Amino acid sequence: MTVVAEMTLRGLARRRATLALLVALPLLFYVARHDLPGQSIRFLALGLAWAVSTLALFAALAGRGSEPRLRVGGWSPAALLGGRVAALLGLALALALLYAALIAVDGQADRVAAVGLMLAVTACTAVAAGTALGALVRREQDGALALFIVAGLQFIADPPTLLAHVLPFWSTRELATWAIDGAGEPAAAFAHATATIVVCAAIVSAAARRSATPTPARSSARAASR
Amino acid sequence: MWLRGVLDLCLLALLERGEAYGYELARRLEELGFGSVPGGSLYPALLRREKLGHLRAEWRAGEGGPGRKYYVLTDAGRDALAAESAAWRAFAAGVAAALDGVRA
Amino acid sequence: MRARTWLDELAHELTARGVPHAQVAGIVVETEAHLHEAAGDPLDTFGAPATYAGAVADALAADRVATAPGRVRVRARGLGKRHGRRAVLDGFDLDLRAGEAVLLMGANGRGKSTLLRILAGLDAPDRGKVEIDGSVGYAPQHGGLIDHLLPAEHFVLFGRPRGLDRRAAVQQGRRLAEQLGWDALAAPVAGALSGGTRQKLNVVLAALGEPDVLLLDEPYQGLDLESVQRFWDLLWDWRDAGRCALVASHAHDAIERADAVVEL
Repeated sequence: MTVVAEMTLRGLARRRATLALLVALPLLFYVARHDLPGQSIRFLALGLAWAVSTLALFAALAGRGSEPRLRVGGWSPAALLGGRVAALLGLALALALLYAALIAVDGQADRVAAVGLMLAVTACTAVAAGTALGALVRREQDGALALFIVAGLQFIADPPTLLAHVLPFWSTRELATWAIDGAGEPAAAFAHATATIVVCAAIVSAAARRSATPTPARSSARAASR
Repeated sequence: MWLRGVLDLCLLALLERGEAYGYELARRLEELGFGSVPGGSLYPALLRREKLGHLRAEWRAGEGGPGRKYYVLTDAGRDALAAESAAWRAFAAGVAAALDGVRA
Repeated sequence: MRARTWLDELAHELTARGVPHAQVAGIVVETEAHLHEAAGDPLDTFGAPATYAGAVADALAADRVATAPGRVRVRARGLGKRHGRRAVLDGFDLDLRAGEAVLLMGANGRGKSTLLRILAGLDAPDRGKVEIDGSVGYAPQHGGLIDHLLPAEHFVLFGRPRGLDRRAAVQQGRRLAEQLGWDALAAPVAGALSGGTRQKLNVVLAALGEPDVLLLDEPYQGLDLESVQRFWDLLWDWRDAGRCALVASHAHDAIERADAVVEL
C-alpha cells in the first residue's frame, strides 16, 4: 500500500504548476484579507478545503484509467484506494500544519491549537469530498468546476441555513467560528464532519461496486505454480 | 575443419566473458588462431545452442538500420560449458598421452 | 555473387525448408549484417545459399522439444456479450494451453477487446463462464497507464503485487524494454510517450513478474518492422518458457508468427 501512496505523491509532484497554485491559494486568501484577522483565517480554511479537495479529485481521476488494470495485476481495490487516500491525507495534514504554524507566527489568533484542529478537520473532509467527486465525474474540468461552485456556495451561504448544512464544508465554518470567536458548537461541527466523511465513503464504495466485475474463477493451482 | 561440437564449445567459452554478436565472435575466434571461421558454420552453431537454451539472443538497436543480434550465455549454458570443457580436457589429455613419443 | 542476390536466395531456401517466415527475416538481417562487416563474397563466407539454409534449418529443428502443449490455462465456455442490441460474443469457447502463442483475429469492432477484457476480469459476460489457472498479465489497446508517472515508476507499481521488490521490478522492466528496443530509463513520463512506445510500455507491464497467461490487445499497432520482430522474439521466448499468450491483432503478418489462430 505504501507503494501506491508513494506513486500518488510522485504523480502529483510532477504537476508543478497545478500543485504550486493550489498550495498557494489558501495563502493568497489569507493575505488578501489580512486586515480582518478572523475573516482571513476563515478564508484560508475555505481555500484549504478547496485546494485539497481539488488535489484529491485529480489524484482519483489520474488513477482511473489504470486502476482496473492494476486490479488485474493483483492489487486489491482496498489497497489502491487506501494508498491513495493515505497519501492525500498525509499531504493535506502537512499543509494544515504549515498554515497553522504560519498563523501562529503571524499572531493573528489567540487559540492556535483550535485553529490547527479546524484546519486538520478541514483537511480530512476535503480529502473525502475530492475522492468522492473523483468517483463520480469523468474529467478534471467537470470536477474542478463542481468544487469551485461548492466552495463558493459554502462561503456565501449563511451557516444556519439548510443549504449550508448540506454542503460538505459546513464543519469548517462552524469550527472557525469556535476557534476564532469562541462561539459556535464544536460538537455539531465534528458530527457534521464525520457524517460528511461517511457519506463520501458510501459514494466511493457504491461507485466501486458498480464498476467491479466478478473475476474469472482462478484455480488454487496458481499459488503452486510460482 | 571444425569437429562438430568443438566450435560450439569455443563459442560458449567466448560468450562466458560477455555477450557478443555473430561477426564479433568470428573475429575473436580468428584472433585466437583458428583462421577465418566460415559464417556457414558459425551461425548454425549459435542457433543450435540457442535452441538448447544455452544461449539467449537479444536484438539491440543499431545506429541506423536494423539492429544486431547479440548472444548471451544463460545459466544452463554455463553448466553446459563447465561439463563440456571438462570432457574436452579429459579427451585432450588422452590424445596427448597417445601421441607421447610420436615424432612431430 | 552479389550479396543482395545471395540473401534473396537464402530467404527463398529457408522458407522452402519450412523455417517460419518471421525467423527467416531475423536470420537474413543477421547474415546481412555479418556480410556487411566481413565484406567478402557470400559464397566464401557462407557457402551456397542452399547449403547454408540447410544447416540453419537443421540447427533450428534440433531439440525443438515439441513441447506437447501443456495444461489448459484458460478455459472459456459459452461466452455471450451484447453491446446494446448487437451480440458481440455469441456462445464463444476457448481453450488456451501453456506453451502456446495464439492470435485472436477479427476486424475492428468485432469483439476482440471485449473478449480480452472478459478474460482479464474487467468485464462480466452476459452468460458463460471463464476459468483461469495461473496469474494473468493484461495489456489494453489504449490507456491503462498513469500519465504523470515515469516508466520506471510504473514498473515498481505493477511489480509489487507480483512479489517484485523495487530494484527487481525496475531491472526486469528495463530488460524487457531493452528487448523491445527501448531505453525505459531514459524515457519521459508516460503521458509524453509516442503511441508506439506506449504500447511497448504496456507490453512490458503485462509481462512483468512473469505471469502464466498474457492477454495482449493490439500490442504492436504502430510499431516499425524491427520492433514487431523483437516483439515476436520476446513472445516466442515466453511461450517456450511455458507461458501462454493470446494476442489480438488485425495485422495479417501475425498469422504466420502465431502457433494458432482464433477468429471472431
